[in-house]
Amino acid sequence: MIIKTLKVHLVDGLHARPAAEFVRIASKFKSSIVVEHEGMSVNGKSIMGLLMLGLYPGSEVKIIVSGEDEEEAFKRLMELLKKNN
Amino acid sequence: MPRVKISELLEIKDLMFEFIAGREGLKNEIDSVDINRPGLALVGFYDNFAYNRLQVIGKGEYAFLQKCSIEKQNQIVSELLRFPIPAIVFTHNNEPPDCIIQEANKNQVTLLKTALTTHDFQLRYYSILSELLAEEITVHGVLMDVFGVGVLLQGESGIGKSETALELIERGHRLVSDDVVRIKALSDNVLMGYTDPIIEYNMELRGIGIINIKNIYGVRSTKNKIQIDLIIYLEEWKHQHEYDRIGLEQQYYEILNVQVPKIVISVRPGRNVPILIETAAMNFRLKSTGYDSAKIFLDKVQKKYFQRKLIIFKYLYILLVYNSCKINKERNF
Repeated sequence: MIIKTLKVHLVDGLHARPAAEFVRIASKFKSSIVVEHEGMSVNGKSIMGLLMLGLYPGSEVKIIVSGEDEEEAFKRLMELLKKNN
Repeated sequence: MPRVKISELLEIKDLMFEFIAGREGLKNEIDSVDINRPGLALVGFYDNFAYNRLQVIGKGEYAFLQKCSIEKQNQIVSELLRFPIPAIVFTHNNEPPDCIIQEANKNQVTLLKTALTTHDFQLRYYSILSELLAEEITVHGVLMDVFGVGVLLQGESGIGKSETALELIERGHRLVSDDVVRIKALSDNVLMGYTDPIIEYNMELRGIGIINIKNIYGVRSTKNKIQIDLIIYLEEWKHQHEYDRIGLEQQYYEILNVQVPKIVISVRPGRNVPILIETAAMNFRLKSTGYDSAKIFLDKVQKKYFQRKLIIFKYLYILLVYNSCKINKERNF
């Protein structure tokens, strides 16, 4: 299981397009991906959940990845979050 | 533990609050569903005084205050308001005495009145507050009202929960929430499921995108909350897996310390999942009225088995009697 807390640096927060990209990548992997923010935890493979969190630039999120391909999944998600920085 | 501000309580129409005094006290918070009737406190007994609850002055307490002289009233009120009370409510639309209004403004205690009777007020307050103060979690799934049964559909992403929900809506059932369901435990056996105000009746369908169910299917297709009665877990058909074929043993899943009946339904071509869910919901209703199809069927089978056994026993008995008679006859002669 990989757990990492980080801040969202995207210019407009995790709005529709980056969220869709996040979900698209997350769905490719078998591992379970959970995103936590302000006491709410949602499935990282569901776009509605991610959008509901309403992540604005600078908000802190905890990403929990666990499963057989967790390393690869975590690497790809981090790449996405960094790419948009 | 969640807390509720007095200003939030004022916005609840059902409680019929009218603000009287103590604007400073509107930011006070309440963390208990109980109220306190400060009868003992009014006569000067303050041991175990539950000051952190909402204080309700009913007909009795009000009559007592009215009987007291102005000086006595002043003394009682100043003693009472030494405690950090969140708010005081006068029921029956009773007008609070002047001294309490002045003290409330000074001591940051909100003063309210309501047109309800004390009994009515208590009932409404309990049910509203237990909902507001309940512990909450969010789960991944789709919550639907199927024939009045609250069904929570769960399963891996991409198994087809939303598509199944869409078919159910088409068949006249109601959507509560898609993808993210907020759940509160109202008591140790009641789970209430809600939608999130941001998501509200929106649904994501792969290939189409985000759609609004309420606008497409109309007002009859949605519901804002429902009690969760049944969890249906959708999973891919596994060849070797043994599925429940009789339905005598009930599986449960625990959410917020509440046990909820759970059914696993496998998805594969040729299995019409919406109709299976409808049937499961109807069977749940039937069970809750006392008719357990599986049990009654098996009882019937068992009865038949016993009847057969009985016939064999009867036959053996007759044989035994006949033989013994024969033996007796032989002995007599």
